[in-house]
Amino acid sequence: MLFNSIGFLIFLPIVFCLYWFVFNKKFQHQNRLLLLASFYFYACWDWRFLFLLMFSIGLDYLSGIKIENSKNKREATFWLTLSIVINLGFLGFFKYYNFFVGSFAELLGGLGFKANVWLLKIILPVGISFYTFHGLSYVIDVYKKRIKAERNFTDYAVFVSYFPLLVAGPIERATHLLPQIQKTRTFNYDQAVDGMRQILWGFFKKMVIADNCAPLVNEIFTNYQTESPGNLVIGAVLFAFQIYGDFSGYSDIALGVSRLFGIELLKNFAFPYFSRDIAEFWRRWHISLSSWFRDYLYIPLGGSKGGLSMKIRNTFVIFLVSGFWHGANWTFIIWGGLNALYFMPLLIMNKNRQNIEVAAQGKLLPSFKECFQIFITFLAACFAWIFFRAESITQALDYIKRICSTGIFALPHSLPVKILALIGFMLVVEWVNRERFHGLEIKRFNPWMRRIFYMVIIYIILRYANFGNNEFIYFQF
Amino acid sequence: MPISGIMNLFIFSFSMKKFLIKIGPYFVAVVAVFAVLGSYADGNTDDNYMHFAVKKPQNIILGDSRGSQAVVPSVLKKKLSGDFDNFSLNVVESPYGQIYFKALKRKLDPETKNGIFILTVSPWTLSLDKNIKNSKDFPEEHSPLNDVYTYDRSPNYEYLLKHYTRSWFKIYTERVGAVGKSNSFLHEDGWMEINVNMHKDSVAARTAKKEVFYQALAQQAKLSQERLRAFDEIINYLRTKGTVYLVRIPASKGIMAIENKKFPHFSKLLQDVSRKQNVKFFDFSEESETYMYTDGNHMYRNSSKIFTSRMADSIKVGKR
Repeated sequence: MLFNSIGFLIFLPIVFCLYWFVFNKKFQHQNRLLLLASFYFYACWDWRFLFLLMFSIGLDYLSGIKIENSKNKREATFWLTLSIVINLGFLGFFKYYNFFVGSFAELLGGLGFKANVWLLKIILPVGISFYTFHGLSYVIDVYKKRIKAERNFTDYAVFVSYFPLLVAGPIERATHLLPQIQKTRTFNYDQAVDGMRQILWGFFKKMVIADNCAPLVNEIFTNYQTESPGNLVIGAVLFAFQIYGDFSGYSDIALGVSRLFGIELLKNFAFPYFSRDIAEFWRRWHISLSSWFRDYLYIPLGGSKGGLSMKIRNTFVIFLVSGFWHGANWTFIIWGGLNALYFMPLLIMNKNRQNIEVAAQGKLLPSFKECFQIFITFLAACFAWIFFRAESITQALDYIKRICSTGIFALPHSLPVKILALIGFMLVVEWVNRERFHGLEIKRFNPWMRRIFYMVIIYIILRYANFGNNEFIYFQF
Repeated sequence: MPISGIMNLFIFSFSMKKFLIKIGPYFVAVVAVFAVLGSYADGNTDDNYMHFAVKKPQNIILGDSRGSQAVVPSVLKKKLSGDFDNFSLNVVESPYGQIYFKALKRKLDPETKNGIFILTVSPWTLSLDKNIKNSKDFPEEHSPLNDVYTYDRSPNYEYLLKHYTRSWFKIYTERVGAVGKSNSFLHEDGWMEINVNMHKDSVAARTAKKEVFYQALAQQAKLSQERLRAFDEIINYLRTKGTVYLVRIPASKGIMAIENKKFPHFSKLLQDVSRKQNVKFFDFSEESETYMYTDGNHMYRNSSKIFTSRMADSIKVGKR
């Protein structure tokens, strides 16, 4: 069930009404409702994989209890390892089996051997990368004694399967979400209203920006060999906004929907295209994933302790793994590696934490220096996105080669003026609200100005949105 | 109930009421806008809408886009009396199969007793990509025939909500009253009227493209037993409600050559079906050169009227 579908627009009010009007006597009843609603939400995608989700929930629930009840560290480590191996085993099989087998066959072929490999037609269960990481963060936190094992199965199941974040995150932490699930939620007017604003903004980014960029991007990337260099640049830029609109739009809708139920989720995007360097970009893009890798991979590997070489090694590891997490294709690994390379100079010069506050904080406009930094960072991100979007490394390199020709100085054949204007509008709105929680947090403005602005956004969505029930890009991860 | 409980209940009721009152007007406004814009839907809206927004017919034409453009119901009405509805979509959305069969049952007037049913057939409407094994992967799974349940509502909001993917403002700005008939206009009787440049060079370019498409399709397609079974079931069903005719519509020489090379015994197959089912089969496939085509596959509208007239004459003769 997509957020931008009629089914969801019927599902959400029903769950909302049941949550606040029927099951509001006890939060335990509300949790049971959320669990059933989440299972139904997931089953609408593919009911067969509901059993896999349930298995994952059961495994980590039991593992958490076993780890806490362990008599010694060895036993606790055993249960932790079991949970990690099984969770990653399922993830590896569904997501990476064909990749490894195919790559192995190619390698053998390159060495002159012929391998008859058995590739399987495997359907990737939607959301598996996200809920697997949910579960893993929980068992690791229990092991590290950051949190007590959850004994209430319903509460734990809601933590993993909570429908707003089930299929595309944000990747929540038990320390943040479980306490909210385990206490009484009271309906908060301001929270709910701001949640609605966030949902509206999410729909704008997804249906107007991302879904209008998508056909142009598909056309340019499919026919890149006959496109002019200018059009290829436009293709890369539009993809940057497509993936931003798609993913941050989804996150905004997820966070906004959750706030309607009195539950706050972790912020996942903080206006990354206003970043002044790549380190800042990665503090603002898919925050829940990068912080997950920082806490559960980078720090256990030694983090920033130890010498520069260890820092460099660990940084490369998390970027490559992050790339690999996105998909079973060498292009994602190259994309991760490229971002690691961008990061290196900042790391080596110890400048990776110099832009902590938001650009032009407290001011209306950025300085020339900041403008330049934002522009260069955006270009670097766009360059890396080419690998992310391309079907293969060969295509990506060919795409880049074709951009880097003398024709780049010629104007593109046609400028998609409408979509560029809409992107400009989005950037202006987000720039004005860059110090806020989300792009449409405009409570501070005059009520009538707000109402007019909501009507403008709604009109733009109705007038320019693509209503084709287009899937969210990150569902494939 | 303790005082704090009552206070909480009061605060909740007040907050919730305030919230619902605040967001209510926006939802009402959006629904109203959709309702108003949707009311302007017509034959310009998209290629399928009018199939779901007209009275249920008693005489029906089935098939793919070749049928939707070649058979003109208004000509049949003059020749055979009675209103006809062309319920042909295209080879992806209305090949013969269980989905088309279910849709037909919803479409047809349940009071039909002596209807005339013209089933236009080409090899493509009875074949399937050889790599498809599961019925869930059939191309028509995503067709509006599969998930739209109302066929005679105007405006048909169910169809528009489920299958209209453009901005609903376009329904209004591109309505017939504003811009005249579009280049692909779906009449109320289901006839798809195409208005394209018929200069021979344009036709030749489109025909060449279409031949490439069908050559590629021929590599992958094979006759499907499921489709043939569904085809039989459709004939059996319609025979209880009237008279069934099978028709093979011609296409250009090049397209017919691709078809006949891939499916050399197709006309014989249809003859066998017609004999087994005791229905008449009119094979016009060898009359390629009699008609003009917009792209080698689809008949040009003027030729469609002539073809329909000849087909109606065959039906009249067949009745005697």
